[in-house]
Amino acid sequence: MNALSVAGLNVYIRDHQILKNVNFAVESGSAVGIVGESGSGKTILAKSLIGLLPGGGRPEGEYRIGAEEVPLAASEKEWRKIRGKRIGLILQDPSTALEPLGKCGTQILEGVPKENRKAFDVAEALAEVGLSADVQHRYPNEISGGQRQRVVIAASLATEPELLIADEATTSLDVVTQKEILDLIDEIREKRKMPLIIISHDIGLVSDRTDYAVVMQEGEIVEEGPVAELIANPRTDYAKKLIEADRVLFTSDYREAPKDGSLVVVAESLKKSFEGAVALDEVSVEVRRGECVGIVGESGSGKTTFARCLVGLERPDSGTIEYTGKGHPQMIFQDPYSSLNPSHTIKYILLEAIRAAGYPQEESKKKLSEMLSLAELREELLSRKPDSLSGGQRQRVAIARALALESELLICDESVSALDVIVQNQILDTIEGLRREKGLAVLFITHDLSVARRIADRIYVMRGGRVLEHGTVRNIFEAPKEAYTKELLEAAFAAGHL
Amino acid sequence: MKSPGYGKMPVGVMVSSAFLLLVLVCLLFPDLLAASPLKIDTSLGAVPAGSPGHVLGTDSLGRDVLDLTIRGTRSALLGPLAIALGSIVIGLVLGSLAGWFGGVPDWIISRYADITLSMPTLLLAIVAASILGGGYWVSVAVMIILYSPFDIRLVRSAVIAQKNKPYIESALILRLGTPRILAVHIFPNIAHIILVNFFLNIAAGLVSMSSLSYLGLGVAPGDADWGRQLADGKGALFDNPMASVTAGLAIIITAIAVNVVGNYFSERTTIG
Amino acid sequence: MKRAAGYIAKRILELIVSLVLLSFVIFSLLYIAPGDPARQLVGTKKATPELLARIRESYGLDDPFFVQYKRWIEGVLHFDFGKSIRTDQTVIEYVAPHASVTLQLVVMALVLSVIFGLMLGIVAAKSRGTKRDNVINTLALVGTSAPSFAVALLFLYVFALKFGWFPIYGIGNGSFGDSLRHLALPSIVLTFGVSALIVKITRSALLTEDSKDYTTFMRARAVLPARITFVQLKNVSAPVLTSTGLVLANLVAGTILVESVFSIPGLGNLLASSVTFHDVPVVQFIALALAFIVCASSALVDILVFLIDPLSGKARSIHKISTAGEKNR
Repeated sequence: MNALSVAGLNVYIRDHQILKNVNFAVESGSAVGIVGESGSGKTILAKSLIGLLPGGGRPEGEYRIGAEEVPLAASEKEWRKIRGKRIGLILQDPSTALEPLGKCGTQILEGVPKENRKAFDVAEALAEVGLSADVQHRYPNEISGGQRQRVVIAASLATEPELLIADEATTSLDVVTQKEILDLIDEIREKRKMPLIIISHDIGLVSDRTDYAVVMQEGEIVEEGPVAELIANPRTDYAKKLIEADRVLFTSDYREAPKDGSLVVVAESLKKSFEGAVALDEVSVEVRRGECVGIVGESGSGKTTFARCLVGLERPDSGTIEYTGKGHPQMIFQDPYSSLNPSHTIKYILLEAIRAAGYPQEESKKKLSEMLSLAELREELLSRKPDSLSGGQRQRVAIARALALESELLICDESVSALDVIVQNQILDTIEGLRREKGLAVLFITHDLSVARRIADRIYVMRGGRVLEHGTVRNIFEAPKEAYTKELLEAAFAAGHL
Repeated sequence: MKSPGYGKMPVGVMVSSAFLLLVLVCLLFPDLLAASPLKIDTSLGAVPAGSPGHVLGTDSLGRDVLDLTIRGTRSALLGPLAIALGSIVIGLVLGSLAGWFGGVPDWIISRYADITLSMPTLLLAIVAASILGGGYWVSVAVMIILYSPFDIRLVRSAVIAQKNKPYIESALILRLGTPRILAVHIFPNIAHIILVNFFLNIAAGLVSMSSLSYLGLGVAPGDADWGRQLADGKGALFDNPMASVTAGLAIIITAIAVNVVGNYFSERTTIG
Repeated sequence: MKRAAGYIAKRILELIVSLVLLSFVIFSLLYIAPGDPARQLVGTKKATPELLARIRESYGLDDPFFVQYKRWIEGVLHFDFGKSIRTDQTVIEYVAPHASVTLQLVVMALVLSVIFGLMLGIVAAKSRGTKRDNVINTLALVGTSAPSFAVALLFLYVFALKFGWFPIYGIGNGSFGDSLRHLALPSIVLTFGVSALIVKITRSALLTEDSKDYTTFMRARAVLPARITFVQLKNVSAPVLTSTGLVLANLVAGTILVESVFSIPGLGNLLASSVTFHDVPVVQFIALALAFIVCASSALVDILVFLIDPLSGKARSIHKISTAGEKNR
C-alpha cells in the first residue's frame, strides 16, 4: 500500500519545464530519499506535492495520497485540506521558517485545527521534540538554530500529518546539531509510523537515513531503488559519479606533511573583536611552503576572520603576521556567484589581475593562457560574463585570477562548500595539482571534516575564536585530544561522512 | 544591464515612452509645433475651446492655450531635469564617500542626510523660494539641496552593499586602487539603480517645480509654464476651463509617464 | 531597556537638531532676503528716514545676526512669534482661525487615507497579479505621480463645475454641515494622493512577506489565510508605521496647494498669501509650526514603534520603504 504516489508528473514554470515525467511512490511507513544536486528539481518536486509551487508554476500528472486522487491543479482552498493534515513540510532554514514576532508556543498552536485547539498540549508537543515547556514563551530569536528547527518540527507535527517532507532540513545546521535533528526525525518516524520523504543533496545522508532512494538530475528521475542496492550497484553514470565523489571525499588516505618546506607565513597571537564580541583569541598558525593546512571549525569559530586578517581585509587588534613569500596572499571565497564582478567579461577580470601583477602588455597573453591551463579553464569562456558560467567554472576563474600575482600562499575560505559534490571533487583536484606543480602553500578553511581530510596535511581545530588543537591529519582524526574535536568527528561519522 | 527576455514591453510603457518623446520634441523644438511668437490679445480674452483658430481656446490674456502649453514644456521640464542631474551628482560624490570610507565622513554625511530627510521638502522649498525671491534657477538649486539626501542615502547603501561582495574584496586583495575599484568595479553594478532613481527624480521634480510655479514662485506672471498656466487659467475657469485643465493634464500625464518608464526600468533590472 | 533609552535619546536629539537647524534656516533665509524689512514694517505709512530708523531700533534690525536669531528663538520658546505685518494682530491670534480649518481638512483626509490606503493595499497584495490588483495599482500610480493641485483642479472642473456635485469655492456659511460639504472635495483630492502612498507602502511590504519562508511554512500547515494576513501585517507594522513622517509631510504639502485651488481660508492659503505680502513673522510661524508637527510626529512614531516591537534593534533593522511619492512632500 502506497502512502503517496505520483505518475507522469510534469511541472512548468513560465515557459520552462522543470520536472519531466516524474514517477515515484512512498510505501506506508517507509522513508524515501530524493537526492540531487542544485537545479535537479528536487525542491520543486517537494513543493508540487504540497501545492506550494511559486507563482507561474503549472503542474500536471496523476497524484495520489493513500488511495485518494488529488488534482495537482487544485484550488488554494482544496490544497488547504491536504496541507498540514495529510502532508507536512519542513523547510531548510529554521531561522526564517518561524515568524520573528510570534512566540514559539503560539506558532505551534496556530496550525492546529480549531476543533482540536482546546485539547492541544503545547508542552507535550515540545517535549516530543526534546524541548522544555518554557520554550513556548520564547521568541524564535531567543533560541538556538537547532532548537528552532525542533520548534519547526513540533509545529509540523501539531497538524498531525500522515506524511512528512523534510527539504534539506539540516543543511544549514552545524554538523553536531545536524546529527541530533536527524536522530530526532528518525525517532519520531519510528514512534508515529509515519512515512517520510527526505530531500537532500547529500547521498551519504540519504543512504544513512532512508530505505529507498530516488536520484534526480535536471528534472528527471535517473535512477531509483532500495538504498543499499543503489549504493552498492549504481546503474547510471550519474549515480556512480555521485557515490564516487562522496566516497573519494570521505575515504581518501591520510596525507603526510612535507617536513622540509620553509615557513611562508607565521601568524602569532592574533586577537580581534567586533564590537566587544571576541572573534580571535590568541590565534597562532604557521604554514610552510608546499603544504596544505586545514582550519576546521563551525560557524562563529573565527576561522573566516583569521583568513581575512591574513589577506589584509581585517586588521587584527594585536598580534603579528609575518608573510615571507612572494606576492600578496590571494583568497578564493565561498560563494562563486559573488566572487566575480557580474559587469565584466572573464577576459577583462583576468587581464586586470595580470595588469595588477605588473606584467607588461606583450607578456599578458602568454600569462593569460598559462593561468587558464593551470585552472583548467577552456579558452572560449573568456568572452563570457560570470552569470553564464556554472558555479564550478566561476570558482576556476577565481583560482586563475588568484594565480596572476604568483603569490606563494593561496587561502581558500570554504571555497567548495557552495558546490555540488562532483564539482567539489574536481575543484579540490585542481587545487591539489597547483600545489604539486607550483609548490604553492594552501590554507584551506572549512567546516567540513571530510574536505579537510581530503586536502590537508595538517589541521587546526578552532572554536569560539581559539585554536583548540592542531596536528597532522592522522593525529587529529585518530587521536583527538579535545572533547570538542571528538564530538565533531563522531557527528561526521554518524552522518556517514567519514 | 542584462535582463531576462520574457514578456513584451507592456502597452502602458509604450504609450508612456511615446508621450515622453512628444514632450521631448516640445522641449527641444517648441517652434516646430507652436505658432511663434505667443500673441497676446487682451481684447479677445478667454474664449472657449473650439473657437476658430484656437482648438483649446485662449486664456484671459487671449493667448492660444495649445501654443502656451507647448511653450510651457521647457519651463516645466528643464528644472526637473537639472534637479535630477544635480541631485544624483551630489548623491554620487557624497554617497560613495560615505559608503566606501565609512567612519567619520560617513557619520557626518549620514547625519546630514538624516536630518534633511526628516524635514518636509516642499514646505521648505516654498519658504526658501518665496523669501529668496530669486528666479527659476534659485528654486532649482533649493530643490537640488533638498533632494540630494535621498540620493546620498541610495548611493551610500548601494556602495555598502557592493563593498562587502567577494569580487570587491578580491580587487582589494589584488591591491587595486580605490578610484579604480569605485569606477570599474562598483559603479557599473549600481548604475541601474542610479538610472531608475534619475527617472523618479525627474517625476518628483516636475511635481515640486510645478507646485512652486503654481504658487507663483520661480516664474514671472504670464510666463509660459504649466504650473503658472494652471494658476492663471483658474481665474478664467468659467470662460475657458481648458486653459487650466490642459496644463493640469500635461503635468499629470507627464509625471505618470515618467514614473511608468522609471518603474519599468526598475522591474527589468531587479528581476535578474 | 538600556537599548531603548539609548534609542529614544538618539531620536530626540536628532529631532532637536532638526528643529534647531530648521529654525536657523528659516530665520537666516529671512535675514538674507532681499528687501528692507523696516520698509515692510512701515506698511502704508510714509517712510521717512526717521521713522525707518525708529523701527530699526525698536525691532533691533541693526543688531548682529546671532543677536537677532537669539532674540527670535527666545520669543519662539515663549510662544511669542511677533505681530503680523498685515493686520497688527499677534501672529498666533491671526493664524489660529485658519489653523482650525486646516486641521479639519487634514484630519478628514488622514482618516480617509488610512482607511482606504490600508484596505486597498491589503486587497491588492492578496489578489496579486489579478485584474483587481492591476486596477488598484494603476490608481495608486496616478495618485502618487500626479501633483495634488493639478488633481484638485481637474476634480474641481469635473465634479464641481461640470456635474455640480460639490460647491466650487470657499468654506461656506460656517455651519458644520455646510463646512463639511465644502471640505468634502478637497479631502477627497488629498485622500486620493495620500492613500495612494499608503497603498503602495502596504502592498509592497506585504508582498515581501509573501515570499518569506515563514509564510510558506504557515501555508504548508494550512493556517487560515486570515491568520496569515494578520501575522504578516503584524510583521510589517513597524516599517509601515515608520513611514508616518513621509505620509504627514505629503499631506501637509498637499494641503497647502489644495487649499489654494479651492480658496479655503486655511493655513496653506494664508502661507501663500503671506508669502506674496512678505508678512515675514506669519511665514516663519506657519513654516516652523508645520515642520515641527511633521518632524515631531515622525519622531514620536519611531519611538513608539521601537517600544512596541520586541525585535527592534535586535534581529532586524527597520527598513525604509521608498516609493515614487517619497520626494513630493
